[in-house]
Amino acid sequence: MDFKEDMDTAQSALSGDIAAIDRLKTEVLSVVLGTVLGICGDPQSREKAREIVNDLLADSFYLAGSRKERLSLLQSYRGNISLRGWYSRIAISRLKDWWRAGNPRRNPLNTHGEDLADSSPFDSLPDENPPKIDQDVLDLLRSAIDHGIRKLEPSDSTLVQLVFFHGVRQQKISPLLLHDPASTSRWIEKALKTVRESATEYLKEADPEFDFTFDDLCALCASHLGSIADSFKVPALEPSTANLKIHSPTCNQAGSLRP
Amino acid sequence: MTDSTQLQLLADFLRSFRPDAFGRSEEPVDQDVLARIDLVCAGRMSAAEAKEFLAQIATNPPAIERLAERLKGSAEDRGQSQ
Repeated sequence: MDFKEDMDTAQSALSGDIAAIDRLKTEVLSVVLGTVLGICGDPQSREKAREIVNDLLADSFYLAGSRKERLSLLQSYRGNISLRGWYSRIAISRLKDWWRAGNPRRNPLNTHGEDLADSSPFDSLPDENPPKIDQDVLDLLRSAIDHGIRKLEPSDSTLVQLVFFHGVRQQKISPLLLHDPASTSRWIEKALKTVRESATEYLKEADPEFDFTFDDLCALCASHLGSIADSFKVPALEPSTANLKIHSPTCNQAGSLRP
Repeated sequence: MTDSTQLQLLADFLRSFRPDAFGRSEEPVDQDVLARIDLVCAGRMSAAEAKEFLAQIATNPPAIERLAERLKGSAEDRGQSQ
């Protein structure tokens, strides 16, 4: 894929073009912030995410390294991936380093409405529109999930399609395999395990440097669904996730995915 | 978050890009497949036979669509009779 336009933006910004630097801030880094906030479930992590994204801008122009090879962050951009995707990977990697250093992390999918009184994660953004998650990242997640579902055993794939894509109630599939409800639950657990392992493997193969787990993937999926529900008033999500409580960057005050 | 909710989240995510992901087809279904859908829904297949049949239609969206309609329809029928 050709990212010449992104490469031009990077080079123009490095040469001091104010308009290009402004594009970096408003069109690139605001989306990067939305992506990174999508995996943050607590105020401290969100604050750190803002700090990291702010630092990305400074680091883009700050010369670092030894005297012989002093490069700014942006000078290391090679145009083989979108600028948003490139910055997103760096920001997520830095945030994970911060978490690994012992700082608290709460899964955004399990907050159950806590901290909702906290100020908006987008307070520092230049405009009022909530930024969306980077499209490259979304495409990667979509491919990973699709791959994971296609890795299911064929009969399991059919059951997943029936229940999760066609809305057949779980108890209705039990008789298909002469299952009791408990074994239906075990079947779902097994199916998710397969999807989880295959999707994670896909992510690692697609982009070995992308420090991304399945839980991150789910958090961003929820964030994305919350974002489109808020932005475009999507009328109908399936009941089980429609009532999901998340602390998404764009979820409403009730923490629901529904608008 | 339960396993089921997590799978539903992933499905909803895929459908947010492509509403017809994994199904929704108007294409006709083979008569033999329809007959076997009747059998499996009536509980007249062994577990092994049912598993084999489900595997066979895994990449047949119209058949899965029809099976889903039958399964959901039978639930509605039961609801009306109560």
